Amino acid sequence: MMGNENLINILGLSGIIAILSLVIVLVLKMEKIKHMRNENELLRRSLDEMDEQAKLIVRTDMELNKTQEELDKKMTGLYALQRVSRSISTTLEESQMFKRIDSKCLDELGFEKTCCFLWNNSNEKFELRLCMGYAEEEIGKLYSFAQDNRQLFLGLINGDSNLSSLSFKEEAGLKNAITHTFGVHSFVIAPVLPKEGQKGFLFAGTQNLDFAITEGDEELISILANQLGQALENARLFEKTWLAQQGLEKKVEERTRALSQALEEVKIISRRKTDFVSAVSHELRTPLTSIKGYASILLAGNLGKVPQEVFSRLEKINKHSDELTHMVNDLLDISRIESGRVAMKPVPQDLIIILEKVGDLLGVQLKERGLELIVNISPDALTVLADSEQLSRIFINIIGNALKFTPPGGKITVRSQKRDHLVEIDVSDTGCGIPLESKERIFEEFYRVENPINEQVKGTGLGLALVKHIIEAHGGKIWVESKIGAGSTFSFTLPAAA
Amino acid sequence: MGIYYSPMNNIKAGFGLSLKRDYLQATRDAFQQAQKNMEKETADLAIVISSPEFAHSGTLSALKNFLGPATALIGASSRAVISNYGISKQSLGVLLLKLPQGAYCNAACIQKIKDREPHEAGEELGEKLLRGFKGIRKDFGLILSDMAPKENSGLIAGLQERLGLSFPLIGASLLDELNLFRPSIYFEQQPLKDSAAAIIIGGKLNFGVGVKHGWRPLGKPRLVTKSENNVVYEINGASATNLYEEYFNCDLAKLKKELARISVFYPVGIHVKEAQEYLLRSVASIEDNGSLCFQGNIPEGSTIRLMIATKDSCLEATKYATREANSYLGGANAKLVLVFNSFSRYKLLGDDSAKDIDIIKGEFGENTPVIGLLSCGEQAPLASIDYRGKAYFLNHSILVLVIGD
Repeated sequence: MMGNENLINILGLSGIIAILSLVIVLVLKMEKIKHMRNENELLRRSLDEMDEQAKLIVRTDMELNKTQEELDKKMTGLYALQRVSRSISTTLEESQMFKRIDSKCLDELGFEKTCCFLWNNSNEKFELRLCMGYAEEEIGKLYSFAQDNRQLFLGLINGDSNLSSLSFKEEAGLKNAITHTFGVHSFVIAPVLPKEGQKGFLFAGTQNLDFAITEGDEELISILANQLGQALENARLFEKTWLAQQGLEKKVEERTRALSQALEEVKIISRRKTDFVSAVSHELRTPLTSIKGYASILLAGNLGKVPQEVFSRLEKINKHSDELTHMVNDLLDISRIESGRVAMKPVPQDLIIILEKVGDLLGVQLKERGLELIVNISPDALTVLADSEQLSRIFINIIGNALKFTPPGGKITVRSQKRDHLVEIDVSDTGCGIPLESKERIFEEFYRVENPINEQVKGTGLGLALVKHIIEAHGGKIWVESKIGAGSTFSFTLPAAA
Repeated sequence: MGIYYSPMNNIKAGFGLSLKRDYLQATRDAFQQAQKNMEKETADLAIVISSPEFAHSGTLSALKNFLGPATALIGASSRAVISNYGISKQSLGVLLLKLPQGAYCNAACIQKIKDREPHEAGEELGEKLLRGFKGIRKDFGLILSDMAPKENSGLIAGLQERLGLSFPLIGASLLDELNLFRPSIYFEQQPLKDSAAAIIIGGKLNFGVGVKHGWRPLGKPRLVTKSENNVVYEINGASATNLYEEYFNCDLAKLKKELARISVFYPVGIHVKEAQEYLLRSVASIEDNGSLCFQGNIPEGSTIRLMIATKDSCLEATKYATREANSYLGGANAKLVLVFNSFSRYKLLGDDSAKDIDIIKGEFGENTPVIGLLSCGEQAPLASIDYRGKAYFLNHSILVLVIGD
């Protein structure tokens, strides 16, 4: 019995221990499950957080991809645009310009189908200037569409606005019509606007469905259209300028020919005049010599004493014969110089020596009229290259004129100065002066200024013409500065002696 | 363009690429370049990859005239042609291949797949390919198709039923579910739509395949709670579109606008037990009912994650795939390389897309002929060739096939 009780006690105790153990294990398991649940919750939360981070990464990546895509597209587009621009700007011929647009460049811009229409105002039709990516049989369809929808395209041209597949939100009909006719999925239409002449539009399209047109694409095609417009403008401007230049050149050529002809005629007339004057002068000199000879014989009384009245008339005949001979000689000299029959013999001439001789020659007259001749020759303008006899004639004529027109008590001043390889000689007087309108004409043959002195003083009107011819024959020139009442200055140049 | 020469005793390969715009000139140009390396031998196979401009019967007829009836022709049009010269638009590439003694190839095509049961079509294609291949070791198969994922998976399943589930089948799908590009499949003289062209090569050919995408998982895993083929209706019990709406913090309308970008840059990845990396699926369309249509099937119950990539991770993937393909050659010299590169990778790499080609040339040699296309889906075993695993339909991947000697 005891044994059974002990066994029962032992079993009972074991059972209690077992139950206790089970309870402990259960409690521990429960703790572990709780811990695992916590861990699981933590893991789940971590996963959710990781997923949230993943979302941020994906969104950022998407934005980066978009930016990269746009950047790549822009870069490629800009390079292509640069190449097209360079290509079209290298020609100034309108027809060549369109031929130089390479389809490869437009491909790189993302558009494999391109065309350009220009509006012809005279026949009110669009003209196709550029067509790429279309077969021959498709072109007619494009023409018809442009013509049928001229109001739309002219509206774009006049409004300087673009139209692209991006522009359409509601008018799907028109978009579909364009995409169908031009055989594209997306497109950009931009106006081509040169300042003058035909304007039009550039169409660029793609049938590539994965090429989504952006505002950047629209901008690139718009830039291309602008450059095309600019290039057209340049070409037209060039053509206009070139045609104007051609016209001008033609006119200049015609005028030059006419002037040459006129000059030839003038030369012929001048030569005839010179020949005529020369012939007449020769013909006049012979009878003049006879007249003067006979007058001299009669005056000398070789044929008997002549009455006083006859004598005074003979003196006049003699004097007028001298004047006439002088005039004839001047005329002959002018004609000889003009025709080149008188060869100048330029040798260094000392101006002071020449002027002293002239002063001696005119000394009596100077004294009679109470005039002072002042010679002021610069040491560096002392010698000129000239024909001695002709140089004296120049001074005699100019100083002689000054003598005639300078009132008593006046001054005649001769100055010289060096001007590069020339010597400029100025002969100034304090005379009555020359009217402005006569300044240029006084060097013409037989021209005489209308003034009271000239009415009293005789002259041929050949002196200054002869002087001008002599100076020009030496390679110099003559001009005059004058003021009425204040005197005149005759200036002329001659080559300086080395 | 220059010509590459493979100085092989057995395999002869020649490649030509023409950028001429006229199709006849381009065809002659590319063929003549490729033929120069064939030492007057007739090619067994011509693989033709061209940009869409050349996808017409004129090009293929002209090329077939040059090739002669004994040369099988398959190929496809692609947005651009991959070659030693980089990735060229508006171009025509021709690869001519003379197989070594004891190696064989058989080409076949199947058309109008939409009008029939895709699985049956796949079986029929498999039977056509196996004709004449009794008792010959089949090395690998290559398939080019322009079908939607649903039809494509049926076709591949039918084909695998005939060829064997673990038979190495590589290929490319050219159809873009976003309808951005309408490809053509080339078989003999015809450019085909709604079709698949395939070849089987067998004998004792030394080849290797490498495939990798370079996308990495991001965020927490989610469960596909309702789907059918390539359409996912619910994820974690909510509308499938919620996944992208949450991540991009936008509504359905805005999400639709971003579809092209989302499809290229942010696919979802399905965890596959036996594979080393996630199986990618890019979004093809976003439906108003909140469902997402993917470029490939996503089975119900799949665990998916949003995926993201960088240029560096993509280029790393190229290196990996190239090395992996090369590793199966057992030290043999590479004689030609075929590349199917996802259009999404091309878009993501942008200006750096030519670096893919540099990596391939760096691995196989500057003058080893390379030809390839931009694909919208790639077919390849996810694991190694040794694994002889089931071929999966992939997105966003670069697939490199190398044949050595």
